[in-house]
Amino acid sequence: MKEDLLTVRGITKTYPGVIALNNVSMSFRKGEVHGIVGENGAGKSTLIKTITGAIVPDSGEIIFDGKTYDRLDPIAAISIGIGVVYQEFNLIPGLTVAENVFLGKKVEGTKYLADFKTMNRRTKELGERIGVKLDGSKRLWELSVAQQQIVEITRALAENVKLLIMDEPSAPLTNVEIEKMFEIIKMLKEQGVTIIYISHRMDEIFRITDRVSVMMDGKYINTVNTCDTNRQQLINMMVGRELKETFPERITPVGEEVLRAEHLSGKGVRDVSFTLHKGEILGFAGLMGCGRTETMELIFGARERYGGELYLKGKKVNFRNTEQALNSGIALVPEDRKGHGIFPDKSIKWNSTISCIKALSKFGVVNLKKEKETAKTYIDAMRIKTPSDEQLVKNLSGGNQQKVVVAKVLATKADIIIFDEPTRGIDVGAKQEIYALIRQLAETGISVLMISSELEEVIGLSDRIVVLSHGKVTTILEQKDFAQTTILDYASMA
Amino acid sequence: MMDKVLKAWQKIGMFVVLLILVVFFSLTSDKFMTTSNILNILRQVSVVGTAGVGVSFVMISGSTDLSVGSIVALCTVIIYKLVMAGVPVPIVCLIAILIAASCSVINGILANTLQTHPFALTLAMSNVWTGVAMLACGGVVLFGLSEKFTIIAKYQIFGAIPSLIPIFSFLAMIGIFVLSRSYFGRRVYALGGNPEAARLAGIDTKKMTILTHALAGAFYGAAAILYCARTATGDGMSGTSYAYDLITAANLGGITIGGGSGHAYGAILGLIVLQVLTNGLTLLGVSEFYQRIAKGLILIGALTIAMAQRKSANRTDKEIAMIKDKKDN
Repeated sequence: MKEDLLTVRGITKTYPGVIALNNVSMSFRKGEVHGIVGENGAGKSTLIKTITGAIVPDSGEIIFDGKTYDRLDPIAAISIGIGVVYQEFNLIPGLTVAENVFLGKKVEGTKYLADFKTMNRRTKELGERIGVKLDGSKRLWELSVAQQQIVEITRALAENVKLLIMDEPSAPLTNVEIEKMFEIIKMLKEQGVTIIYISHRMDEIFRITDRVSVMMDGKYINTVNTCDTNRQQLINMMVGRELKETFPERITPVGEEVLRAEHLSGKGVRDVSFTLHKGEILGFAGLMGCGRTETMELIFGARERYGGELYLKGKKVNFRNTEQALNSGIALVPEDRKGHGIFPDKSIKWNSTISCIKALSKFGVVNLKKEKETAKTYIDAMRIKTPSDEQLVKNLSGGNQQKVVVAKVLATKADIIIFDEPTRGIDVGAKQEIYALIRQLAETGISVLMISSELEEVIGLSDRIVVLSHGKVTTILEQKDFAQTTILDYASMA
Repeated sequence: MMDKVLKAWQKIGMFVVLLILVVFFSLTSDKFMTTSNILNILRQVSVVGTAGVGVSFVMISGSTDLSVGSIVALCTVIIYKLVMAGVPVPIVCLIAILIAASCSVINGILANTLQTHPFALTLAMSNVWTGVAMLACGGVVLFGLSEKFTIIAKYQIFGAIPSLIPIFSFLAMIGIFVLSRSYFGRRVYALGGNPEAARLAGIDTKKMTILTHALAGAFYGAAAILYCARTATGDGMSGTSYAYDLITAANLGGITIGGGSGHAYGAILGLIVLQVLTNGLTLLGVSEFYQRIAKGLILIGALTIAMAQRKSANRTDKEIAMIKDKKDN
């Protein structure tokens, strides 16, 4: 049994009217990869923030490397060897890699001026520690997202990090890049660094962690050895009840063709052809950058089409903007919920009716009664938990925000709905509701185009799966041929 | 406590400031609270405020317009020339509105195609329009506009209220109504609140940009008509302070730079506050230089309060969000 590097004991943090952390005690061993899972609002982020000193707990203590602290501040946390890699990077695009790595730090051997040579050399050495080649003189904006994340990790290494906290690190990465990140995590682990790994993706938790802790409602539930548990058990612990992660079955058969794409091309899309039938769920799989989102935007008129044809119910269409697509009965649930889906400062009612507001108007004037009724219909249909339809959307949890976006799309009464990563970053319970909803929509005759990076989701929900690679369709799989390995094979085809 | 004060301020802050100013000036100057002075203030507000309604549209849609004054000025010169050439007044008015709308639409088209910040763009266009206006008027103020036209402002309702004020009130109400109650207004807010979300929600954002500018331009044209009617002049430099005053007024009234929030009536209220301040200080014999300093400081004050409100709102929002999340689980 290895000794503990970090122990938090009896940590409580309250905000007016809510207990964010309720007497949480947890231990992290030296050199282990320790996963933390829990639904949105379970208290994971708050716990991380107490460890990094971003917030001060009301009570409790933090024991790190044998020393006891009743509170930490960010500078103290860094100096004792606690590093964090956040989802959003805290790097400066205009500076070089080495300058970012050593930002705010003194490099040995320099007196008053920055010694770029030493900085670049040290950056290279730090890179070697985790098995990557780093060119310290490159500007940060020249790097890919994955490379930037490596710079973040290197930056933590430069501080002699003993504990590295990674908060949803895989979210912006492609599958290949995630593999690379896992290798880096393994190397760090071998060097005795403890890693706290937070992720919504269960498969990653099982791939990479040694132990995993579960949190719910601000409380610590349990810590288990990853090899002694399974997906279902973890999910049950997270939601505190039996919850089957299941995909609803198709009942009604698919109907006639409603949409046909022939040799579509545009930026990032080279030659995409497929057909969509009434009531069908057509899944789109592929690695990041394979042109999935771009294809959807071409169909939705949100992007310029270079070539190819699109037929809607047999009629050739050419949408020059999204309004034309919407008027023809196509609607989109975008990938980036916060950036492209919601109007955060507006109410649920406002958000859910903005796409169909013209239909709720007479002589250009919005019929407020109709607006309220429509909003209520879809708030109820989506089971959005809110005391009032006037609640601002920015105050909702991620899952409920996503439901508002879907409500907005449903309110347009579109008969083709595009879902781009419909469950990204939302918790297990809300995911289930979205799955059930998509299936239910298909049963009522709505045709669905669905993109997802989670293969299980695509396999579980789709009737057929289009696999894309480098902007081209590599195969269209029928249900009997669905398998993760098959999809990955076709997705990584050159 | 502080949060509550800030929240209340958002709703009634400008009324409070206005009340304080009115009381203060009434006590310190015996000329302030006279019918003629109050009507004078309102007449001034009417002209600039009509343009202000247009600016509200542009600002709420997430853009900004520094060329408002130059468009108004250009139109005053055109109106003068047309009226003096004997064109019938209704047709002159129509032409003025169409020209102003076209000028503003050009801003919109440029914004769509160049994808650059409207600040720089409208700054450039304001030079263009001012240049055109100065060419048209020959660089001098054109005095002595015909009675046929100035009757628009001279007509008195109930024997006391100059017609400018009800005309302005009517136009302002149209603007307020369109913004708050029409589906077009909703889309203006959507465009300002999150342009990419608006686009992906099925709103043709480029068309919206053009339409918003067209409507704003129509208000600029109306402002030019009221200006000519009130002053009986055409002046290529008449609107030089409009952009500054109106953006200040909009900020005072809760329309933030960046768009998506605020109301047209807020901007009008902000404008009234500015005009009362200018008028009162002038009556007290405070030099124009001090007035400028005061206006600048007031804008800084308004921005400070706006920032405090945002912070306070975010703070409470976070708490609400946490409570919400708890309930969800």
